[in-house]
Amino acid sequence: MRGKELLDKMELADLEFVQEAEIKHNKKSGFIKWTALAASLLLIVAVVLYTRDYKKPPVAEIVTPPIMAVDPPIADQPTLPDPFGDVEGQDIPIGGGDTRFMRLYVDEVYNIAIASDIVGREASDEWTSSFLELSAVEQEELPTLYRIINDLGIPKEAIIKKNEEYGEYASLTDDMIDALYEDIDTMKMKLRSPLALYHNGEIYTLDGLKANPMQLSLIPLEVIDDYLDYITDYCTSEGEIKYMREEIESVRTLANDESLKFNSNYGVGGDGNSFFYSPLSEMFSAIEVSVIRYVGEDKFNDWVVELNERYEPASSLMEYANPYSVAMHFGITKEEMQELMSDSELIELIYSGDESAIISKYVNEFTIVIGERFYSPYWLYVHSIEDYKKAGITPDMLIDSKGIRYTFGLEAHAAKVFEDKLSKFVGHEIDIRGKIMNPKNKREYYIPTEEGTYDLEWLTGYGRTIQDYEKVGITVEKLENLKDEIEFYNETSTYEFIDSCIHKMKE
Amino acid sequence: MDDNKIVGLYLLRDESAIIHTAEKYGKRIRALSQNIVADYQTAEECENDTYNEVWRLIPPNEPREYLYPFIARIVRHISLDFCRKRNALKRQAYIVDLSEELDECIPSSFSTEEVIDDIFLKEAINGFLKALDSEKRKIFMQRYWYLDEIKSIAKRFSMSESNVKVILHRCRQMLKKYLEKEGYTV
Repeated sequence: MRGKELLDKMELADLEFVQEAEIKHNKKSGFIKWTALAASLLLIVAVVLYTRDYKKPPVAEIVTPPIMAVDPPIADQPTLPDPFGDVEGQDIPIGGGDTRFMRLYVDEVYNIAIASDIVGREASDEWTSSFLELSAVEQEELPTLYRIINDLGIPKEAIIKKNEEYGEYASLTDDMIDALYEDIDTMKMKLRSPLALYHNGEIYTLDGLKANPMQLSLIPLEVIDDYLDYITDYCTSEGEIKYMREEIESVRTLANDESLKFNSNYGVGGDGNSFFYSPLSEMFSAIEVSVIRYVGEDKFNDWVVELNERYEPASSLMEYANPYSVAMHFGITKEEMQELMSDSELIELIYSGDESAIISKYVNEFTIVIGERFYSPYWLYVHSIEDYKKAGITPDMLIDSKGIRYTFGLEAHAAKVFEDKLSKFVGHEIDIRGKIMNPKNKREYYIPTEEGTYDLEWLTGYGRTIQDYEKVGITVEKLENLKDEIEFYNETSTYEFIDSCIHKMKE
Repeated sequence: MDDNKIVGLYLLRDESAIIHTAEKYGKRIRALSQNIVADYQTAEECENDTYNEVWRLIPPNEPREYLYPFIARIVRHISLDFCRKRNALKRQAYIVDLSEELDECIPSSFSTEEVIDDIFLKEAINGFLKALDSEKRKIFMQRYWYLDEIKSIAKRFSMSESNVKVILHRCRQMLKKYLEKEGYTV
């Protein structure tokens, strides 16, 4: 018997399985995040098991891989212990999806059965309903067991007692129980998944990094490399490297990708980063096809490549491809250009030879101009303070430039690097990260009521509900005023949260 | 028309049974075949052959409760046959790839010429499928029953392709173990 026959004989599969697996072409909605779905499904599994036989701990029915008796990779812990133990001879677990590279925390703390057993079915169901109403991001943020324990105030003693009652079915270790009663930061450290990366107080997973490469810009390259090496070793020992290598390497490539400096969600409907790169308006960057054909596509392309190699980022008209430089470089006469281009005003300007006039007409508001040279935000980003000085850029010029008050969708890590350099040059703190809602600026926005003053930190705090708002006298009107105030932050989850609360309160 | 009535028409040897089958399941049958043969015209041929085969098989079969899976099994069989017999179909290489993947499931003690009784093999396959959780079973079936591509499966389950490959690899290992455990060794 061979694979060919087995492929044929698969037709012996029961028809119920055939029907179950039928390929339907109505795909899942794009907005459903797989991670949220996984979390929800897991919760449902836990609840279903609990409902089915609440006296027997359901954890025993979910076969999960054993917790590795090692510390997961931590950025400041470069020596990676052997996490694999003796994998030979282990049974492959049946049941459960493959969530190893998806989960932030160890499997055991996603199972709320023990908590449900303590608080009773009604309270557990009620909690589950409210949990499922949370956004996907909120659902993923904390282990479900940690959340239910905190939300319902389940004492540690009750968990210890119930866990002991489970006897051989007990899944929580003493360390895990201790960690469930720690503050969030400590809990994260202690309960992180062995296959997740812990860095700077945050947990990252391989699947998460791949799905949201912007996270990579928050982690130093060497840390990512260590982590990916660790995952490679793990997959090698599991005999799965041939399936995972491509994925691991794709994350490594992404981590090295220069474009990661930017947030891909930025600039919907166009290139939101163009002002960062382009010193002059896009109107002046476009070269008509007729001109390119006239000089010859190959010659033109070679020239562009050479310019990019020599001058990227450009700081004068002749250092990048534009209608002026192409005319000058290839010696196109004004008469020839009139045959090739329709914009007579531009032709006049080009052949006036006045580079300053061209620059002042087409320069964009984010670029610093000094005579016939110009300095885009990108130029400032890649050059040193010494280069600024050599170019004649003064701190005052920088302070006046709009380019240092705008993020251009730079990711947090890149923005900070830029910010630090600018701050050092001008001699005081420069904040280009206005779009990033941090605890500091969260405290700058608040709602005063008769009960007290409630800032965004409080309003968007963990577990906050509209009932809390109502208790302290926060009305829809007040929230709407606050929403107007934070309009600038309309891309942040904070803004979305306030917006959703307004909707809920109106309902 | 519901399946019960359609099967009733077959039993009565009423040719409108085929028309009703085509109306109700034609698109799905064609899609399934298309998925296997990756050629629209061939898929149409497979669809027509399937109707003939269904006509031949009902009666004696009476798949009142499972008409579509019954037809799906036939169209799969016919489509696979087309792939193997027609060299012109580029799909042949894909089927070979799938067969090679399943080679992994065959215990080393099996001789290549050995023919396993269908009854035992059916038990083994279904026992193994039953032991899988629903998601893995669907993935396994979509790959080796519906012969779907990894990429499509990954998209359907919102997983990475690597994730699907790993799951399939594990399933194949499990099937191999299952076959060994159930005594399919000589």
